[in-house]
This record gives sequence, C-alpha cells and structure tokens, in this order.
Amino acid sequence: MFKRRQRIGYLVLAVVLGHVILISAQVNVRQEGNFLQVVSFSALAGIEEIISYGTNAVGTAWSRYVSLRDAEEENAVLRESIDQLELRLQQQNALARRARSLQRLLELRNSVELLTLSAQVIAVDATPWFRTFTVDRGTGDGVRQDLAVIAPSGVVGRVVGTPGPRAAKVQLLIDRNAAAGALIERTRAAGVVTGVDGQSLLRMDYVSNLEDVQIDDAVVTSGTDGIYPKGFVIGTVADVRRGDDLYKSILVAPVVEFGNLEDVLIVLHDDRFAQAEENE
Amino acid sequence: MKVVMLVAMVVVSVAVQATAARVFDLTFANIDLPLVVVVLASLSGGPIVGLWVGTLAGFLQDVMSGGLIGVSGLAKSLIGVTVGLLATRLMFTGRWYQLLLIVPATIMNVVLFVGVYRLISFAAPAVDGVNVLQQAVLNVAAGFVGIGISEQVPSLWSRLRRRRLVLAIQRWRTN
Repeated sequence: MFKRRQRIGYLVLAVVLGHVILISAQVNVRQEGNFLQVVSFSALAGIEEIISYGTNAVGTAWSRYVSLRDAEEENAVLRESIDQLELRLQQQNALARRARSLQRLLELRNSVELLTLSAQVIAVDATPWFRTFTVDRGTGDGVRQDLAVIAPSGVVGRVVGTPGPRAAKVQLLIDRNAAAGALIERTRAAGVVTGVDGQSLLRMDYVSNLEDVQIDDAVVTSGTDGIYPKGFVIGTVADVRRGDDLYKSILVAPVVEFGNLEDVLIVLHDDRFAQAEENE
Repeated sequence: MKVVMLVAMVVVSVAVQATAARVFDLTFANIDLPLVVVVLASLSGGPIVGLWVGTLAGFLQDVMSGGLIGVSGLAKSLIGVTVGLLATRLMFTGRWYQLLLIVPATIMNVVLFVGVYRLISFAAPAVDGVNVLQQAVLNVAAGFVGIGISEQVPSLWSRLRRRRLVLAIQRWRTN
C-alpha cells in the first residue's frame, strides 16, 4: 500500500515537472515549434478534417435533398436579387474604373498584388479560452507562420505556431493576444487594434485624444505590422470616448462574422512586403 | 485493449470538441469534453489512469488551441490524480455522485489553468463565474450522456449479435 502511494507520488511529481519544463521552454522561446507539437497537431488535424468532412457531408445532404420544399419561391427571390446585384456590380465597376484612373493619375500608392490561397475551416479552438481555428492548408501549400488570413468582408487573423504539412492554426483578430496596425480610414489616424477578452468587439489603442474619430468610422489595416496588407477592412467604430491619459478609448465592431466562417483566404504574398524585404 | 480504448476516447473527445464547436458555435465551446473523459476515466481506473489520461487529454487540447503547450496538460493530469484518489478513498458508487464530481473538477481546471498563466505573467484569460458555472452544468450533462452511451453500447452490441444468431439459425432451418 505504501509502495503504491509512493509510486503515485513519484509519478505525479515527474509529470508535473515535465509539464513545468515544457511550459518554461515555451515561455523562453515562444516562436520555435517543436517536433512533438507539429506531429501531434498534424495527426489530430487529420482526424478533425475527417470529422469535419463528415459533418459537412451530412449538412450538404440535408440542404440538397431534404430541405428543398421552398426551393421554387427561394429561386424567384434569388433571381430578383441577382438582377439587383448585377446592377450594383455595374455601378461598382464604374466606380472602380474611376478610382483606378484617379489612383494612377495621382500616384497615391503602389498597386497591391496579393497572392492568396483559399482554405477551409476544419476545427475551432479546443479550449474556450482562446480564439483560434484550424484550416486545411499547411506547409505543403506554402503556408508559414505569421501569414495574414482574410475573408471577403475583411481581416480574419494570422497563422500562428508551426503549421503541419496539411493544416495550420489561425489566431483570430478577436483573440486577446492578437493585434494589428490600424488606421481610421476617414482621418488616417493610426493606432493598434487588439482583441478584448471574452468579447466580440475589438479595442483600438494609441489614437491621440486630439484626433477626430466618430462612431461608424471605418477602421482599416495600416500595413505597418508587416503581417496584414494595407487597406483591408477591420471593422467600424462602435464606441469612442476621450481617455484619461493621452489616448482615446475606442471600441471597434469587426466586419467579419467569426462564428460563421467556413472559407478564408491566406495571403501568401504581398508585393509591398516583398519589396521591403528585398530593400532590407 | 483498455489503453487503446482510453486513447481513442481522449482523441475523439478533443476532435469532437474542436469540430462540433464550429457547428454549434459558442454554446458547445463552453463544454470541456476532454475534462469529462478525464473524470470518468479516473473514477473507473484510479489515480494513475487519471494521471495519464489527463496528461494526454490536456496535451492534445493544448496542441489544438492557441495557448502554451502543457498548461491544460498540467491542470488535467492533477485533476485526474485528485479524482482518482477521491474515488478510491470515498467510494463513489452512485452515478449522480460520480457526475457531481465533474463540478469541482471544472472549477479546479479553471483555477489551475488561469493560475498557471497568471504565475508566468502571460496574458491570463478573464474568469467569469457565470461562464464557469455554465461550463460545469454542461460538463455534467455531457457526462450523463457519456455514461448513458457507455452503458448502452455493450447491451446494444450483444442484442445485435443475438439477433444475427437467431436469423442465421432461421436461415439454416429453412434451407
């Protein structure tokens, strides 16, 4: 009995020590991904991919074959909305042509060429404490740490940790450890957008009390962090107050609906970053 | 065989936690399925089983999340040992008593997880009492379902086998 108790004690001690060493190693060198971590992440991501495809298949079967009762009415509504969208597209094309010609004329900024890779979300964070998800693209597709991840509506986050061959972890912008360089589009006031713990809103720090910021102002990426391409929409100002110190207290409502994300784009290459790297 | 079953249960619980949370959004994300597996395994297998199952579950959870590797592992392995020791000392025979152990285990998990982050001066997650209680209740519900399934599967399997046998005998008689 005593020996058994002693054995349990030694085992607990060994396991606790092992964990403490593991945690300490990461606190010192957070950027390095170790072999065990990469292998476990890849293996588990594979299982999650299979489960994800399974649930997607069930969902697709349901939506395609079972719930087709209102398809005809829905079809008519969709046709109408397509007509409206086509009209809007023409207007947008006209605006875009005008904007392009103005841009070329004034030479305000370099043209931005982004090489992107589409990826599917296969899993979300396994703990309720962090806001990350796993996508089905990895080092085999050219994905590496710190690449920006965007959606058609705006900025999603960045790749964190060492990606596996066919999977990568993405830290959402609403994670409390996430941050991005940002601008108020209207006034070009610069600051840093960070996630707020337990909230779906973002916080914009380091915007001077002297700057003009109003509710509903668009907040876009500034490109100064070297991760996110410049000019992508982060969200709109939801609340702005004069701060006690030098800076305003600003809350930003993100444009991306993080709960509904299924497909995202990973920015593999941004011309301006490449130029900056070449210059260095 | 038992080890393979336990490893499979842990892997499936982590995978289901991560994939189902995407489908059911945040409500499901507040359940800690691997913790439920750790508690149930510790209750049936004792402190050493609890320790290893907790270590594995926590490690896999850490790998699939944005945090430091080892924090969940440390918390869950200590929970596994504690629940295993409690089970051997206090003889929890009733199912409800066993399930109610999930509540202190959930609280212990949160305290250890957040405590380690505070200790190493990393940005610690904010703790919301209501959220923790909600997680405890959802974990108990998941444990109830888990026990139900684990009790039903063997009887369903034996019923299926018996039915197959009866059908085979009937076929043999008609031939």
